[in-house]
Amino acid sequence: MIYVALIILVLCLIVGVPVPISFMASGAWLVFFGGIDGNGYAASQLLPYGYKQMDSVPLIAIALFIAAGGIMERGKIGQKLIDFVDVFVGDLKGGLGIVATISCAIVGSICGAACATLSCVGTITFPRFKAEGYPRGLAAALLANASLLGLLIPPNATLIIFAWITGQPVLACFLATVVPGFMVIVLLCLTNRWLLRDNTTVIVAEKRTTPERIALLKTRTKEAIPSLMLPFIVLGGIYGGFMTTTEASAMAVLYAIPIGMFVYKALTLKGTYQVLVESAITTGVIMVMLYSVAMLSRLYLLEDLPGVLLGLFQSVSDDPMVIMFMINIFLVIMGMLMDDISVVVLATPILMPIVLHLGFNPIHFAAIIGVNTGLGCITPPAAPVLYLSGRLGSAPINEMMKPCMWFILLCWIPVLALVVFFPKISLLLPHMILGTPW
Amino acid sequence: MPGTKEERHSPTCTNNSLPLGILTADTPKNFFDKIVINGFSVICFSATLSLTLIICAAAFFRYILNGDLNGYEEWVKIFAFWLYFPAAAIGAYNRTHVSADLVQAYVPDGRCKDFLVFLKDLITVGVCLLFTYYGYDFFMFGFMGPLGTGIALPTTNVWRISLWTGYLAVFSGLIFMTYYFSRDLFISTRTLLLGRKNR
Repeated sequence: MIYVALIILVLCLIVGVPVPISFMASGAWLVFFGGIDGNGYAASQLLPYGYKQMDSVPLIAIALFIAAGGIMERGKIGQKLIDFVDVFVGDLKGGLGIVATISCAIVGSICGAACATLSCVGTITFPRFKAEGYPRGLAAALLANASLLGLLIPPNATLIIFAWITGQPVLACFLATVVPGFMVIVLLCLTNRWLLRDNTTVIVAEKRTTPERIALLKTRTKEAIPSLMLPFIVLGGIYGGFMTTTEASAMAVLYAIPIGMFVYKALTLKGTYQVLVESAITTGVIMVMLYSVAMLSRLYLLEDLPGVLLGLFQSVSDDPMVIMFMINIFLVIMGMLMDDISVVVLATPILMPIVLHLGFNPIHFAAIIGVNTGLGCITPPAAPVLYLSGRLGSAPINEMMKPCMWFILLCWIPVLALVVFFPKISLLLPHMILGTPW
Repeated sequence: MPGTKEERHSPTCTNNSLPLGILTADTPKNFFDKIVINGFSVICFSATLSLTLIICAAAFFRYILNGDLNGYEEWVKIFAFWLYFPAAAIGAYNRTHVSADLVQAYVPDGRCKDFLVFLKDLITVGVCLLFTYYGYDFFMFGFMGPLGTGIALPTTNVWRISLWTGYLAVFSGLIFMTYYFSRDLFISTRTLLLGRKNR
């Protein structure tokens, strides 16, 4: 019966049934025909179980981080951050690419989601990319890749969901992706410069002298101080142990609204209403998916899907590293078909028992999931971030594919390989700060 | 068909996990939709604001005043459900639920595509109807109690808030999701039967 349920899930996804409804369809099959004797399961327990799982304060952080991201964009808080980063590297060849990458990391650390980061940074930097003569395909591909830093630089929604599903400490999961995130930042900047090595169309800004740089730094720092306080509040609050993730997200919203309204004067009351409703819709879409997967994963566990999958993997090899390699292939394929949140909510409850059985550290697996979902978001056919970037940057997909493949080959795959085969990369910070065992 | 060749063949994975600024609530046209969507929008806005204020107040009490907002989580969780599900219903109205629309991207326009879209909508509505029914049972469990007599209603521990207040959010969200998915089914059925030109 479990195979039929999986086939129903895949068919529904291919036909284009919304992801949460596809999960419900697969679950409905098991409700009617699942179980050892094929008599199904008690339907009356499904919604209460999902409700109980969703009745969680940490999950609210997702809603509030999304709202904070929206306010950052609409309130021009993101723009001030980008201008600030521009002072340091804006006059290098490919400097704007570096500015965009680092800005994505900073904005991503506040709003915690790839599309929000892309939307916030992209709307500001794409006109600049165009003005500086960047190839539009390269600019859009770079932004798509850089926005995924929102999935790696904490806090981020995917890892909150991972922690919620697995019962692992959120902070440890956050810290696991920090080092891989910084590795991706460096590799993206280097690859961007390498891709521009022979390019003659890009206008390089005149090299700033030290006095000019200092004067610019003074002006932009003054303008950016209210914006810079936002990551300070969120990250300082969480890592300083002053606030939980949910409290930090609420503080981010409470701080960002008056800054956008009264300091940068870019946010009106109507704009605040609109942005909060829009972010609520995004949250609702994600939460219904979480609700449906909470119900489905329970049914899958009752049907022992992890055991079935482990049997399949072990029929190929008993070596844990080989099985982990296959799990990664599985995650990449899932990432090619679904968006990041869907992959995390579906794969985590199924794969976690396998990973634990193989003796891997669950926090290490958080980093693997984080990097894999990032990779999946830019790998066609279903590459939502890539398409969104193309839309924002007015770049056709065929122009984006070549640079995007270079970014995947030179940035994501090496980082993924390092994270998978060298667990200490992801466990270093959780071990140092929280004492998480190796 | 509008768009360049590349655009037409780009899969439109309608992931609206956050394209703020692009994802905007469509303006409802008829009276019923106006009431529902504007009502739900107000609920979502109020819930987001309430969550922010309550959580900040709890943090303030805990860290600054060394006090405690007793049982604030109970209110917060109920507000959260009143944020999630009405918003999901607006998502159904806006067609912004996440889906990998491979059919839309790779199947050329024609009867086959119309049929697949109809099939997608049929499955969506069927499954949604089933879960709305489960949602009704779930709500009635909270509203009438486990015995169906209105006695021994499930409540929260500290504030004794009846749990049906949260269950109602789930049920109403499912009802309106089903309603708006049914609208899509109606449109795709009409397209399948009458063809695109006569629609």
